[in-house]
Amino acid sequence: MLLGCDTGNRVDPVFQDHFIKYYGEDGNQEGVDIYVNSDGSMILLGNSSSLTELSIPFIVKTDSLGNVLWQHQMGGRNEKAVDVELITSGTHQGKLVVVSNVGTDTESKIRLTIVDQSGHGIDSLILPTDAWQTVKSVTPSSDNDFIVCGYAAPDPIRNSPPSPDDQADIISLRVSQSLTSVDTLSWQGGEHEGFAVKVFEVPLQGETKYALFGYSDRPVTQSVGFEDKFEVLVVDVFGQPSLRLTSGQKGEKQKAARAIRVPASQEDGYFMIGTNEDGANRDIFIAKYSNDLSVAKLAQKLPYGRKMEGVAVASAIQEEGYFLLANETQDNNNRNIFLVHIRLDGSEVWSTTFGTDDGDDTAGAVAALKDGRIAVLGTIDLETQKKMALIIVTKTGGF
Amino acid sequence: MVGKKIIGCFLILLTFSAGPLFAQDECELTLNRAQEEFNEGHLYGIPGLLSDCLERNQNAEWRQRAYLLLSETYLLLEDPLGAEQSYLNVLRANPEFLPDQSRDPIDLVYLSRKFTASPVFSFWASAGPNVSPVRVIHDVNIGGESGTKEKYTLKVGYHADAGFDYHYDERISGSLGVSFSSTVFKHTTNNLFGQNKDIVEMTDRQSWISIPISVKYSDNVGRIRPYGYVGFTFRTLLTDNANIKIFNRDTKDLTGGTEEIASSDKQSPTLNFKDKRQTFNQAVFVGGGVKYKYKLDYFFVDVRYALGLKNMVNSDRRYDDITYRWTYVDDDFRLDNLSISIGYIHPFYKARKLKHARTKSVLRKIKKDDNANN
Repeated sequence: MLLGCDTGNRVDPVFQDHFIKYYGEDGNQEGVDIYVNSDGSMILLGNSSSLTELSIPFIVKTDSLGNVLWQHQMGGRNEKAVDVELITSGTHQGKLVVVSNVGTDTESKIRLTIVDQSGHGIDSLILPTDAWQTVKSVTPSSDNDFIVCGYAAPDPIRNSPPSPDDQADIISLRVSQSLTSVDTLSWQGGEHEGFAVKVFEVPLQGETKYALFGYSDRPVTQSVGFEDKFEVLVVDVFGQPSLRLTSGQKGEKQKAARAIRVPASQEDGYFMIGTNEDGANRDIFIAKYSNDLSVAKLAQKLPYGRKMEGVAVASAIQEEGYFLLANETQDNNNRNIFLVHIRLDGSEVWSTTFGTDDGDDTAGAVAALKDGRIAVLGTIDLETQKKMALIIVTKTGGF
Repeated sequence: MVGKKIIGCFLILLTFSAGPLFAQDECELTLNRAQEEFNEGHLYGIPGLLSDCLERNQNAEWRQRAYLLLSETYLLLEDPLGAEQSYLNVLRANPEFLPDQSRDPIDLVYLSRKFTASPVFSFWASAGPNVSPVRVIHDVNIGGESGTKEKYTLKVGYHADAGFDYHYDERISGSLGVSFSSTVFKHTTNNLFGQNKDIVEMTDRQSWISIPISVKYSDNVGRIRPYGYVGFTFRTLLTDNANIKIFNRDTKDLTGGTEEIASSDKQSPTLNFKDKRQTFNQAVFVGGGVKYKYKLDYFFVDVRYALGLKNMVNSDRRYDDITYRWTYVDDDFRLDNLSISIGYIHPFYKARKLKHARTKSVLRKIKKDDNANN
């Protein structure tokens, strides 16, 4: 309009729906995972670090507009949170479970922490272990336990004969909701490297089984060598494997980063994202699995002409397809956050980037909101510090 | 030899510079003689007596008196065209001339009411400082915490304006101008990422070209003449540059368990905000001031407040590389402007015959005088 006065009623508050907001405290804060509650409030999980603190988990709850309801550090020093999920049943129904790695490398241990929706810590447990273990995610099970998965120091018993190249075993552990008992659900040997990124309960052949999504270099047959491939391993409640499905391109490596369950609106099943490594080239690699895990409907790399590292995925809610989140490496080795909307067949609808070449900006997690918007959690490298960033964009990736 | 040349040059200069003085004296004598002729009733020779000096003498005061004498002469000779032409020349010599009813003949006063020399247009120019208050439409935060505070601070800019006034009458005029202005404001974010923690200061400088249109009401008598006006302005943003300073203030542990705030600061280069702004904007304004009459021109002091009408922010570019590096995001806001100007007005006086002569008051006076004499 040529003439007229812009007032609060006449200027749409689009910034309330689409925005970038930073969260943090002293030092640097990275964003790693997001959980969107049914009321639209969001749980942002990350880690805080400074010159004096190596790393300590940092958790924020915001309203649907991104305003902080509460935020605080949790856990202990030299601890990195990796995943937060809603507890859907049991005594802690409605609360949150956070998994983190305490210590680094060969001293790493897994911690589960239960937090209520007001931010109060309820309970936590560092899983007892004789060797290092690293967690990637947690899944509340239908029988009120927690299933954690990741990788651990190679177990000589499960890796016979032992290999000097063996770096890790893929593991899945069951922890009671009361945090009083820990059992091994699955301990995979035979690979030199790999890890499970997510465990899902799957009803197969009339019984509840557990599908470990991740990657492994364990050869499919003895005639082929060790090469990283996306892997889905289905085990029963006793950890006995009943199915192994690998996907990837021969001669290249495919390393998984995250897996999701795909709703019926997107043809059911499971979707995994990771990185395809071909020499120095890096591309997003995706795989879509049928609901019964009998087949990988889609397994392909998505070449965008730049170095890409697949990080996270979310099923679209109002649109067809998926939102993929990746790190896009620039010529100066700094990264930007890359968000792409793909159709069910993997073709691109649109893509956008967040961040600048001057900063090392990294992707954390992506979530599709009920109204079609997309929430991206990441880390933005500001001029003087790194901060956890919540970026909410339109269903076409804009502000 | 050289001395003779210098003396020669001096004499030549003296001759040329003194010439007009001699002519002035001569014409003064001629005018005095014409006045004497007038007083003695020898009217027919006066135009011829003055004609030579009227062609040569450009002294405004002398020409006013000469043409006034001619006007009176032609009135007595019952030559109305000659009288009117002479009176027009009186006004050309002195646009503000008004006959004195108590001193000048009533027929001259009557004649004067048929003419005016009031300006149709005036040129004006002004310059001065300004400040730009920000009126926030929507508060947009870069930090998610409710404790984050924002404020705007006034900074002094400057402006220069020029334009023309069209005088509808002696009090009401319409004005059209063009203005270049530089405006500045400062936005500060406090308590970012915690109480007493990070501070982000953004100083934003705009340059504008504006086209102000206004209606003005002025006092028209006296040496000091107050006025007031209301108007509307179209503004085009030429440049918008910003500097951002970040005070990254973290708690630093000291020995003994005490803490202090340690700050690592960073100053941005000049950042181009032009794409983050709407190029075209509008404002309504109200203002006033006083004009000081100096000879036939004016000096003035003016105060104006302009209310910005449009959102300054291009919301499509609210989030960009600046957001990703410098921890800054624009509110939706309108930009007002309070300016003080000192200026100069040059009226273009135009002597002319009125379409509607203002002679009623003179006729009333004539009747009144007749009644008094009877």
